[in-house]
Amino acid sequence: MSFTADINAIYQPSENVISKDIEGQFMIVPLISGVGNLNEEIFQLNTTGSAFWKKLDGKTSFGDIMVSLTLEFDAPYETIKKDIIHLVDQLIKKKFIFEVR
Amino acid sequence: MMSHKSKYYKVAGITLQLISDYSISENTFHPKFKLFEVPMPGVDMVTIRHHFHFPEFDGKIKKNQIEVYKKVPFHIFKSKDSWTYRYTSIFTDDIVTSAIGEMNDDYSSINIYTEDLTQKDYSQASFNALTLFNTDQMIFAKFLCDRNGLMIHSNGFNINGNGILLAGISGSGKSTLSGMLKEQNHRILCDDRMFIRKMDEEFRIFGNWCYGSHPDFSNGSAPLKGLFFLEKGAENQINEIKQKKEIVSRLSQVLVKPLLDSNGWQKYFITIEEMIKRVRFFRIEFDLSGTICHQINKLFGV
Repeated sequence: MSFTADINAIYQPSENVISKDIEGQFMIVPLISGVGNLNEEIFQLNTTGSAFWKKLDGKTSFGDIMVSLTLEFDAPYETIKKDIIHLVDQLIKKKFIFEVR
Repeated sequence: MMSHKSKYYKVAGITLQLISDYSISENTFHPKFKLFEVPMPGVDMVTIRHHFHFPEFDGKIKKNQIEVYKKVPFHIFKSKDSWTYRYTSIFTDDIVTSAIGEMNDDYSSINIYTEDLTQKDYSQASFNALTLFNTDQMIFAKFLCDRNGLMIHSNGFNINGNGILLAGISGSGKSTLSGMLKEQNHRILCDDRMFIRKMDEEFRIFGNWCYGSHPDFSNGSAPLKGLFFLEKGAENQINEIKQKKEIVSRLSQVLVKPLLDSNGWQKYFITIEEMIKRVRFFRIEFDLSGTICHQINKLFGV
């Protein structure tokens, strides 16, 4: 079953990951067992993905972040939403983020 | 036959003092360690102690410890000031079936505990790792991180005094290109796992004993002058990568990820940033003719 994000959902990064932007390449690294896969490569985000990650403050809703990204990238809402829903699905499965509401 | 209860080994500028409750014979460790043996303590030293009983805490999870890694053969826990490794061998020829490693926060003091090993077993074991695990890679990943260094999934060569790394995942052609370079009498530093450290304002690469499937290694080192990302292709060409974002992306795919806490990763990221500023990075594509070696030689004035 495909993942569907609630526009009212609020997500927050796990405290068990560390993220870093080096020279424009954004990376996420799990710190403990059970979060992501410690044997896998470092997880990389593209430009849209990293912009999404940086807006995860545990307060702003998924829908509001989508609107903000649409303006920032001057791209259709549905295009951004499609990309980000796929990313959110991955991030939740890896336990890199969790829903606070 | 001479026997000792203490020996010193040096790699990447780090001296490892091994102290054992048993006598260490000529055959306790694999002959590869001979290359790294040194007669005396060093300035930067860590200590590994071997004990032949399990500790009182028996490797159980301690108060304030959290599980940080679980994949056979390792189960690893960490607290604010210590690490516990529980090792359960899955290798049929492994003389140590289980061991417990107890490390302080920076791994400068490592205690390895194992049972059911006699002095005779220990004298003839030809251990592949000083930790008695199947590899010492995990402790070196931590040592290097704390010393402005890191480990890269790569083969290292010394070409006319220039250190180069051939980086790529398994199947990318590292062995093939390494074979060609060896035919040109270039000296391999290590197969598959290379140690890199920033020392005296330059990055150096170091041979070590944590090699991969080919027992190619040395105790040599060289200043790192080029890192080549191997690509599949039918041409013979080398292109320098100027886009730093591309370098970071490619580099992150060939790093041997250490087990670190968030402070450790902050240090690790600084090392990556420094390395990107100071080292040249290339894409390399080659066929089986060997002509790519001439381009590499030319690049380094051979």
